[in-house]
Amino acid sequence: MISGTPGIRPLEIVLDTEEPESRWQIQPEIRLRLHEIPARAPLLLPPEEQSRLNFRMLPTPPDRFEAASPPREVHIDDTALILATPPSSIEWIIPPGSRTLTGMFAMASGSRGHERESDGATFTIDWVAAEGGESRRLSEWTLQPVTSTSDRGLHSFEVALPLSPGRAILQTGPGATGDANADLTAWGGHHIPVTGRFHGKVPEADLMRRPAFSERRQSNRTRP
Amino acid sequence: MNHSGSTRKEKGRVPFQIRQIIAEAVRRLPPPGVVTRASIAEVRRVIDSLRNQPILILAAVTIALTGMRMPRGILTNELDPSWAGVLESCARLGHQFGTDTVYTFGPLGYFETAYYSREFFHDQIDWQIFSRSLIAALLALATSRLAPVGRWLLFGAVVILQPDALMVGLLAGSLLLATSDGRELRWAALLSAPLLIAAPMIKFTFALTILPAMISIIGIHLLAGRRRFAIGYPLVLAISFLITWTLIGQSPWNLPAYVINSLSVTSGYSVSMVRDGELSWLVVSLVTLGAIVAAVLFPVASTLYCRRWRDLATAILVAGIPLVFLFLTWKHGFVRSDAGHASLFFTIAPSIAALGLLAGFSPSWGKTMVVTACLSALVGLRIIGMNIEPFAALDQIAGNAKTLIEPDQSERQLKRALKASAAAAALPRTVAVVGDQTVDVFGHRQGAALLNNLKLSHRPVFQSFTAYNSRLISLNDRFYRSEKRPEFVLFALEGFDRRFTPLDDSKALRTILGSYKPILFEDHHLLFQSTGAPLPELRFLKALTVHPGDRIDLSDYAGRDLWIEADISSSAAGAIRSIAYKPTRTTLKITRATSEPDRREYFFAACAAPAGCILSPLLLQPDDIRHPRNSPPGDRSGH
Repeated sequence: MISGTPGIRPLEIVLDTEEPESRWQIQPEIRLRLHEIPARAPLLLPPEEQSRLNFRMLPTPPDRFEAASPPREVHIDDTALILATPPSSIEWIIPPGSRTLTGMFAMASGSRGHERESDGATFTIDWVAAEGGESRRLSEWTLQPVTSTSDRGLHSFEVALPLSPGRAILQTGPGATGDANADLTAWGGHHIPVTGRFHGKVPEADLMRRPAFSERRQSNRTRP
Repeated sequence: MNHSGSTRKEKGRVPFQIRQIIAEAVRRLPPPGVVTRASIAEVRRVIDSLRNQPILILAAVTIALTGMRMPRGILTNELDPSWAGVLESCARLGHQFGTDTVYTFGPLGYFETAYYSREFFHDQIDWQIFSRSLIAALLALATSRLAPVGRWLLFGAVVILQPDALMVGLLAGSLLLATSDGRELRWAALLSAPLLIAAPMIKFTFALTILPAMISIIGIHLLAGRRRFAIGYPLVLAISFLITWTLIGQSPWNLPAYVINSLSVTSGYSVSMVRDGELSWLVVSLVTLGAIVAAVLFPVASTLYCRRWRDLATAILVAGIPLVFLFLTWKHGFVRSDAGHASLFFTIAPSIAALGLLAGFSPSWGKTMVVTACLSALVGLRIIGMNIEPFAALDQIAGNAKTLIEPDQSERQLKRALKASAAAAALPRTVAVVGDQTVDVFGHRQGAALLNNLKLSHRPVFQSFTAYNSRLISLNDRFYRSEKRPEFVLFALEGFDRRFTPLDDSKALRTILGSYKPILFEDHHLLFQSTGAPLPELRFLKALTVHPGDRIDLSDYAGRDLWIEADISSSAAGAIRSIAYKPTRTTLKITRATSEPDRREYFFAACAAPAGCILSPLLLQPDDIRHPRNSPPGDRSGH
């Protein structure tokens, strides 16, 4: 398997014209033939390449990715971003040296117009020093695209990182009421000047049926 | 000269008659020295007459400079630069068109792509100078036959709107060949010949306009009693075409394949790339179309009234030429009705309208219709969002003149841009693995291989979405099952227009997934390497007949990899609509196995459907390429 996600299968199909009133343009009978494709050897990518594929929307695969759903590509304003539904955490190990962390964040349009509309979401960037484990918040934003039009679309950020080695952690959380069900939060950008290797396992939980935050964090930790 | 008497006697012995005419023509040829002296005298006479026509010369130079498509584009890994890059690569490597490469463009396609070629930059410029000079001369010849209104209309249409210059030149040449005689006919024949010979080798679709035009021209000259020209000229063109085809390294034996396979691409395009546009665009285009048809058909109606049957036949044949050009450009503009394609029609329509005046006398009715057509074309350009900038021609002239005066400096700039493009598309890890072994690109980003100087060994229909129908899909699959198959494949699953991605080049896709293995991922491409594993045959499950809109339950086949083939035929009325305009889009609606109701609709091209495609699992983006049996049995339904 190349992907970290299980297969998506069709349950039912319908062949038709785009507009039902255009059916007069095709014959009333469509002949179908169904075949089974025989089993073949699994299409496996080496783990490092798998990681590059999963995180192809980022210039460098993160060292850790935790979210309810597998990393998925979403397009917002024609830019490919990685969907990281809250609560999520993306982490890079940053070697010593002077640098800034630049990128983008957004909430996908699915956050609006759903039966259950989003109450907003938070985006934070934290720094954890390699020595001593001291943690500090570098930046924090809240987006409410349902009520605020200026919160829609892409938002850029540029954050100065400490010179010492450490870890940059990009997190998303639910909005004011703590309901994350309709929050399609995403990170991206081609200017995150970090290097590193993905170590964590990609979670395979269903996007729409996720367990509570603590349970999911626990389940992720228990994975080999 | 009238040969009507001998025609009656030798009826039914056409081949012999042709031989006789050729022999007679050769016998009557004057000695070479006489020909040279006569030609020089004729050219001197033309130069003398042009000395008194400074405005005509200025107009011709302006037309030539605005019509040039100088190489300004740079190879990238995007869709259009990629096909242009492959055409250049084919010319460099001597690929055979029709067998090695199947496309709408031919072996000289790189002349007109406007993308820079390291190998052929100066050839591209030379062709632009040569062809645009011929086109300008043909238009100058045409304007000498038009009234001042038509003359300025044509000049304005060509210079300001900048339509496809080659198409305008072919139409002007065809109409002059159809409506001239004597000295003017000789000049029209001389100036048109290189364009008529080269155009089908540049883009096959030009042949679709040239062939009906040539049939009309033959008919017109036969009716006028000019049999020697009617048969001799097309024969000379055909022989010259064959010689040129051979000289540029193409085998004459591949010509039938070139014609058949290019026709297959052209016909598949109108089904597989169909896209609906705004109704207002269509209405304005029909007004433009109707006005030109009315203008062109007026002489036919006049002749019908006078009941002179020979004149009527001639008028119909003459009118047929602009009508063929008009219909094909209209169809090209509105089969895939986006602003870019629609603009192709609206920019050329005024030129067709003005040149259509050559088709007959131009009473006030004809002129009114031509002006109506021009105005509605301008409205059309406005509503599709194209700004008409009368002075944009000056920029075009300045840019082209600069390239002509300082080609080396232009090339240096293009080389710098190409270097930057190559750096942006660099695939160092892929290059390190592939080395000098062969690679094909599945998808439409062939530029990725070319920019990285990989040894591209592409399947015949080299961009996946252009394998429009069963014939082309099978052609590619045969390539992948042959000894010619590449060692590596740079693979990207990318759809557009809500196409059902697995249907694009479906058989090659299945062969790659079965006989290659993925080894790395770099910059949106998976690199597959051949395993040489034989591809197992499909296992037939079920045949069924359904009606459009019927639900087909697949729950019996949950967890199995499925291949579907569908015969979706046009009804008689649908076929007529398809020829006259475009077919309807057929779709595949899929309810996915998800926790929430999830139904999506994809464009499912009827012409490709009989070849079949992978239906389950759904392969819609790179993540979806996987082997479902690798996941636990109870975990096969995704998000």
